[in-house]
Amino acid sequence: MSSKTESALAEDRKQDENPKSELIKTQLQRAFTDRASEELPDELLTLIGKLKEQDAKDGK
Amino acid sequence: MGNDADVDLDPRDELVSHLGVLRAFAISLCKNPTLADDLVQETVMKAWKSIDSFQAGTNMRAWLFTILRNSYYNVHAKARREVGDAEGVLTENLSVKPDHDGRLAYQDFLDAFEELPDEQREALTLVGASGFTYQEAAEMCGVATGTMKSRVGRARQRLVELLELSDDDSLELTESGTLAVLMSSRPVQVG
Repeated sequence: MSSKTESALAEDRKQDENPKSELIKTQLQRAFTDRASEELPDELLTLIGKLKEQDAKDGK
Repeated sequence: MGNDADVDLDPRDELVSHLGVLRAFAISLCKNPTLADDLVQETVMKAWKSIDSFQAGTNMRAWLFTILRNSYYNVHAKARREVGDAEGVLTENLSVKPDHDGRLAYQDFLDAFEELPDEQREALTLVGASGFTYQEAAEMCGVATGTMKSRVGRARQRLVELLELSDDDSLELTESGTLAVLMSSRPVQVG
């Protein structure tokens, strides 16, 4: 790994690890996790069901 | 994120396993759950249609996110521009002040996040929340890695400004959700 890459990575880590970035990252992850954990809408589940049915008919 | 175990999983089943995070990404882009759900459905149909061309063992999440964000910018972002962006102009200088004592309230953060431009919200969600590297996120968005780093940096800086964060700001540790995230990641200073 070149020294230029190493210093670039170190700079990234420095930017990522400062207290404000950590604060933002934690809240961001919480928001994302909360939304990802929500129950999926019925319409989406119905769509998946229909797609699977069609595949079965098509012999996939 | 692709691994050997994914090679044995039917791609269609694997697609279903990513729906939660896909929806979370859609909400971060659309800022509207109803629009986000429409976008996810559109993405699922496109992905399902071309699922046979997906290479097992590669990063399906990145593939799905790329389909979704391309759909968003091709259709939904254009529709928003045509309707007008008066709201964006009016809120351009909005400062979302913390509730009290300088502590970052979760809702304050969500409000500030929604004030960011589309590309910055997308960058923060991909790199900060979804765990993609700068390079992966850049490839998904069709930009250089340096561009993605700049977007993330500007997004963070804008959030700091909107939330008027100082070095002394702390999280409200009485919020169980925030505490749960912290406990799963790193030690935290109380007070």
